[in-house]
This record gives sequence, structure tokens and C-alpha cells, in this order.
Amino acid sequence: MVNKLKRLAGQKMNSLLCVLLLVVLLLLPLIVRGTYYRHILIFTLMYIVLAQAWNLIGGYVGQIALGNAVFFALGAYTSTLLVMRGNVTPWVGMWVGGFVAAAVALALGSLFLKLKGHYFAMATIAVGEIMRLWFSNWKFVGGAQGFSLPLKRSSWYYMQWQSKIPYYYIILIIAVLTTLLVRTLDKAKYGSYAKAVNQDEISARSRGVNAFRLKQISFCLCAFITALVGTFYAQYILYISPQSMLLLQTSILVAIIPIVGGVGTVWGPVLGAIFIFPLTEFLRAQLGGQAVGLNYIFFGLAVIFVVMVEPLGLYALLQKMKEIITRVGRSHASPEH
Amino acid sequence: MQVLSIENLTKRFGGLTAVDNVSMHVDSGKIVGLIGPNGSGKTTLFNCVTSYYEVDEGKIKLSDKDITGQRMEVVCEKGVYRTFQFPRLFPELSILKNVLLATKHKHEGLIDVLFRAFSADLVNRAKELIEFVELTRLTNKPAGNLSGGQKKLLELACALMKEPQIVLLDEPAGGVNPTLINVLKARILEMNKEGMTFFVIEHNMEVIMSIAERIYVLDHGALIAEGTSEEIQVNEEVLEAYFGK
Amino acid sequence: MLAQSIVSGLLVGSVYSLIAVGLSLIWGIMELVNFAHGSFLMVAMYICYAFFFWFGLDPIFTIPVVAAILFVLGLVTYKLVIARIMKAPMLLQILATFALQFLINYTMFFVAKPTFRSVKVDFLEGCLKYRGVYIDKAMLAAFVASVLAFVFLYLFLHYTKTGKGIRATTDNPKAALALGVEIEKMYALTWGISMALVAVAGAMLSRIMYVHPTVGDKFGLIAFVAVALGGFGSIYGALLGGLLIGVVATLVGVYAAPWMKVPAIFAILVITLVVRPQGLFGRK
Repeated sequence: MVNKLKRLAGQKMNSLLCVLLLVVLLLLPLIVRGTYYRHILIFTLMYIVLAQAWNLIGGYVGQIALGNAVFFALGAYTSTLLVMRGNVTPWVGMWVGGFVAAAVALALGSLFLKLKGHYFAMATIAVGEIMRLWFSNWKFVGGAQGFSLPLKRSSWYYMQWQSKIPYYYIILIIAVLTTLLVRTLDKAKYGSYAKAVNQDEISARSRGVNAFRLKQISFCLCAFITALVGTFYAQYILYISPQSMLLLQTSILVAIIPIVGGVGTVWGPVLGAIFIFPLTEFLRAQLGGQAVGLNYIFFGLAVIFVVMVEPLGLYALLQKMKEIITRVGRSHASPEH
Repeated sequence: MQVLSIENLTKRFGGLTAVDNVSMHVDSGKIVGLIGPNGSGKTTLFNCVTSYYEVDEGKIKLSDKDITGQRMEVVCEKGVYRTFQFPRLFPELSILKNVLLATKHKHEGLIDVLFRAFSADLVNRAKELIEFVELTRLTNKPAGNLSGGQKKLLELACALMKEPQIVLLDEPAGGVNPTLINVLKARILEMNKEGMTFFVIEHNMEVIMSIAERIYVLDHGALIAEGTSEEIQVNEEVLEAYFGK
Repeated sequence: MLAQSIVSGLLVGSVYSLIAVGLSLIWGIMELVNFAHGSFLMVAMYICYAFFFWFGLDPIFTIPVVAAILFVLGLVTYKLVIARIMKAPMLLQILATFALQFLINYTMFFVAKPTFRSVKVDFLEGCLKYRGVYIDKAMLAAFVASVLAFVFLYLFLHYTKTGKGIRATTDNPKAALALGVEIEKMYALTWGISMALVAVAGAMLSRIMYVHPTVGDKFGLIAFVAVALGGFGSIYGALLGGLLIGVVATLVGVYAAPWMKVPAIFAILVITLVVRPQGLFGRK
């Protein structure tokens, strides 16, 4: 009885913390001034969404996708082409991009999702590189130079603003919704089925779980969400090109973040993004021009750290620390009877 | 009514014929045994029925409907539940979760899987089944902590959760201590009384002879005898297969 | 035209094969895909450049030294990094080797600055002409070096105790262990040998192309395709894969467009994975 009450209290505590976190996040732009710091916030939130998307295919269902830049680019290029050639608002273009990406994921998935481990990873790498080189040589998508989006000053229709604040709130909403989605999926049957397939696909299938369909769904969701961020990025940076959007390093980074934070968990990607991104940006700013690629060294070290210290990521590390703290607290609290 | 009918099944691995033109059937509500020396093709037969292996020749029919070569998960949902000689469970998941994973998936829509958790009904049913196999006090413990015998009992619970047309048991008594074997036997017989059909591979003669109404005997992939347990025990070819001339 | 393409393709393919064989050795013995392979190639190229820059030596003549250095580097990498990730889940292993690639590449950015360096040597410059086909001497030298390296590798694997130990561990680790083979030592040595092979490739390539921190990445990826095409676990497969890729890429470059060469190579990978994942000669 007492334990049940304790658990309920714990849950209420968690909900309260979440609400508190949300309030802080909503008020953050008022506290954080300066375009540079706001930029860091926006990029961190972007990576949270990208990491959560990867988490579905790589963390839950366990297919190591290293080509998510493809979906990122599909989103950006689709909405950008629609804006530039058809004057279609990115608010619509973003959904079109999402569906295009999901369709591509469906097609690629039907070919590749039967592959396991390294093979799937390599297939996704190959697709990413093919697309990068193809787009670099295709005039229709602007070739290697890409596109500079037409400046529209501040316009809701064109999803462009002078200030960073509207961008912040948009990406914040996307990040919150995505995390909520992952949480819902985690607690639903999906969470159990996906992890089962991840752990032992044959056993799961022997129980009638349709592993292939689960993987397809995860891959398409991942693609859709990643594409949405692609559109956001295009509207934020106002410049897209194969070099900025289709790098293998980007695809790998999108995988590194949830791994460092903790794959297959709801908060892992969030922790990973918060831990990695602001730090690397800060380092890069401090060391100026000398530090070309210093952030990549940092990513590399973060991965090595995770592998050697806590393979389940920061989330697991925090859980363990929490356990130690409560155990210490309990031993202190228990009176000398 | 024949729940499972295996017609002229042949499975080869390179030059070796593991299952050689075997025909068998299991009638509804019966317990049928499958025995034979090691390497006689029993588990291979099960693997062919459930599409773990591809069939080279022959047909598998479930209640007169052809299921040959259909995907593993499809065969399972259509009503063939199969356990493994070395239990395949999810060691890090709780016993409850393990059983819940075996619910019927056939009628689950996309929205259901993505957004709904296991209903209270399903959870209660799973708990009832766990109680049926006497594992209640371990309900929330990871399945990896179970002993060999307990794992076999858990597999029974999973089988029941699926409400299949037939349960294929691969050596249910293998590696299980004698007390638990009795529990296993009792549970299987109880389930059978409720109408569940079983097809059982077993090396433990005492167990199989006491629960199976009819027994098939395989040797080197071929069917060498079939009959009641009394008939099998005195069958010369069977004795030869096991003990040599 | 066709003959020219095939010859050129075989020459460049021999270098791909050399790099791919190293990758295949590592995969074969410890089932690890080394995504940092290209970075080691790059390091070899920089070392050759350094010898050229400081002593004016043609990389051909520094091969033994560079191979020795890379051999040690391979051993050290195994001991410090790879040995620790052997027990990790595949996801972490893959990312760990990528992490290694990042670390090596971007450390090089730091150390050597991203400027393009080139090794300009006179020895074996220019082209031969044989029956209407132009053969670049530097590429021919690379081909010869690759062939020699393969011969050495074959002799090593089949006639030395250590070589046989490596083959035994690759074929059947449990049996090898029972026979007293020190598995850890075999792993480390395989890494060393793999990097030594890469060093030979790097030396020959440094005479032909610009040296900069990310020059090796492309070759690393091409090596995968070669190994995948040939079949993971098969050294001859990797060899053949590299040659095939060299020829196909050159043909595509000539008859379609130069920029299509690399996409074509990746397309080969995709086709292999979808149609015949075990490659031409692979097991599993």
C-alpha cells in the first residue's frame, strides 16, 4: 500500500517537473537574450527532434539507420522548391515534404529493412551518399550550390522572421509534440513489441508480432518527422545545399545523440542533445578558427565515453545516480532501532 | 477434424534429407506425440510447419487451409503456436510482459498498436495464465531469472495467451526437474481437457507415453511407426531405431 | 576506348582491393566493420608526405618504414580502443569506429591544417603506351605494389605460424582456442597487418593525389563496397570486388559522366545488399 502511494507520488512529482520544465522552456527566450545564445537553443531543440526521430528506428526497433540526412534534405528541398517555384507557403510545403520523405522511407524500407545490423547501416550510408552526389550535379535542385531562399523580411506566410523568437517557439512545439509522441508510443503496445523485435526478432515473430510492419512504421515516422525539421532548417538558415544537408557526418551525428543520451528511452535523445550540442557550440566559439571540426572530436569522445563507461547512455547513468542517492537517503533516514 | 495435416513433407539440407516424405495429422482435441532418436528430424519438422525453414516438398494444412510457406508470424496468428527446445523468451522483460507479447495480434490495427497500451482485460488474462502455471510470485521479475522448468511453464502460459488451434511443444520436459515435470504434465492435461490440441516432441518416454493418445516415430527423417503408446512400446522397428539391432 | 577503361580500371581497382583486403581480414576474424579504415589510409598518406617533405624521399622507397609505423598504429588502436568495444552491442561498435574516424580525421585537421598537400616525384612519372592503351606509370607502380603486397600476405597467411593462427581464428575461433592459439594476439596482429596493407596503398596513392584530412573517407567507403560485393569473410572476394569496382567505376566515368563514378559504386552496394547480401563468395 505504502509502495503504491510512493509510486503515485513519484508520478505526480514527474508530471509536476515536466510542467515546470515546460514553463521554463516557454519563458526561456525572455531570459536568454542575444541572437547567438538563442541560436544555440534553437539548434539544440532541432537536434532533439532529429534524435527522437532516429530513436524510433534505431533505438526502439533497432535498425541502425545512418542516412537520415536523406529525409532531412527531402523535407528542405521539397518545401523550398514549392516556395520558389510555386509560391506555396512552407506551412503546407512542410507536410508535403514530410509525406515525400515517408514515401521514400516506405520504398527504401521495403528493400532494406530485411537487412540486419551492418548491412542495413551500409545500405543507408550508400543511399545518403548517392543522393548527395546526385543532388550536387542536378540543376533542378540547384546543384552543388543549392538554393538561397528569397528573403521576405518578416512574414508568417513565408515562415520567415527577423527575430529568432518565432523560430524558437515553432521548434519548441515540434520538440514537445515529438517527445510526447515517443512517450505515447513507448507506453503503448508499440514500445513492448518494438523492443522485443529489437532484442530477438525470431522470438517476437514466433509470437506473431509482425516485425517487418513495425519496422516500416518506425522508419516512415522517423522520415516524416526528420523532414519536418528539414523544412524548419531551410526556413531558419535560408540556404540549402547538398554540402550543408546531405553530409554523412550529419546522419551519424543524428545517431550519436540518442546513443549518448540513451537509446530506446523517451528522455535519452533529449539528454543527449542537451549534453552534446551546447557544449560543442561553446567550445567552437571559444577556440574560434583553430577549432575546425573540434566538435566532431568531441562527438567522437562522447561515443567512446558511452561505450566504455555506460553503454546505456546518460539516461541510465542518471537513473543509477538517482538510485544511489535514494539508497543513501534511505540509509540515513532509517532511525537507529 | 484434422487440425494439423502434414502431407508428404520433405526437407533437405544440401545432400542430407532431414525430413523424408513424412505425412502426419493431428485431430482436434487430441494430444499426439512425436518421438525418435536424436537427429531424426523432429525439430526440423516443427520448423517446417512454422516456416522457420522453407519446405522443399509437401504441404502443411491447418484446419484444411494450406499454410505451407507462409511467414512465421502469419502461421502463428492463424493458430499454430510453437515452443522451442531451448526456450526463447525475452530475458530482460518481465514474465508478465513476455506473456502479453503473445496476445492475439491478428486483430490489432495500426492505431491500436501505436497508441494503446495493453488493456486491463489482457493484463488480467495474462495474470490468470501466470497463475495457472504457478508462477504468480515471479510475475514482475525478469524472465531471465527463471529456471529451465519455469521457463517451460512460462512458454505454456504464452501458448494459452495466443488461444491457438494447436500447440507444438518441443521437448517440454527437457532439462526440467521431476517435480516441475509433474506440474507441466498436469497443466498440459488440464488444457487438453478444455479442448486444446497438442503435438508434442519428447525424449522423456514416461511423459510422452502417459499423455499422448497417438505417437509418431521418426528415424533419420522417415516415419517408421505410428500408433498408441502401447503399440509403439513393443514395435520392433522403434526398438531397433533407439537401441540398434 | 573499352580496353583503355578496363586497363585503367584494373589498375585503380588493385588499390581498392588492397584497402578492401585489410577490411576483410578484420571483419573475418572479429566480425567488426572498421568504419575508420579510410582514416588510417589518410594517416599513411600524411606520413609519406612528411618523409617527402623533410627528406625528399619518394614514397615508394619509404613503404617499409610507413608500413611498419602503420602496423604499430594498428596494434595500438586495437589494444586501446577496439579491444574495449568487442563486447559492446553492434550499434555501439559501429558508432565507436565512426567515432574513431572523427577523432583521427579531425585531429589531423588540427595538426596538419586542412590545406592540400602534394607529393611531387619524378620517378615513374608519365605514361607508357602498349598496344594503343595508355598506362599511367604511377598507377602501374601502384598495381605492382598491390600485387607484391598480396603475394606477401598470401605467403604470410599460409606459410607462417602466426599467419596460420590468424586463419584458424577466422575459421573457427573455438577450435583455435583449444589448439592453444592466443586469440587476443591474433586480433591485434590482424589489425596491424591490415593497417600495413593500407600503408602500401597510401604510399602509392600519395604520389597521385592531394593529401588532406578527409582524403581517405571515400576509399574507406569504396573498400566496404568491395568487401560487400566480394562477400564478407572472403579475402579473394575482397580482392575481386576491388578490381570489379575499379573497372565498373572507370567505365561509368567514361561512358556516362565522371561525377557518376562514386554513385555507381554505391549503387553496386545497394544492388548487392538487396539481391545477394552475402556477396559473391561470402558465407553467412
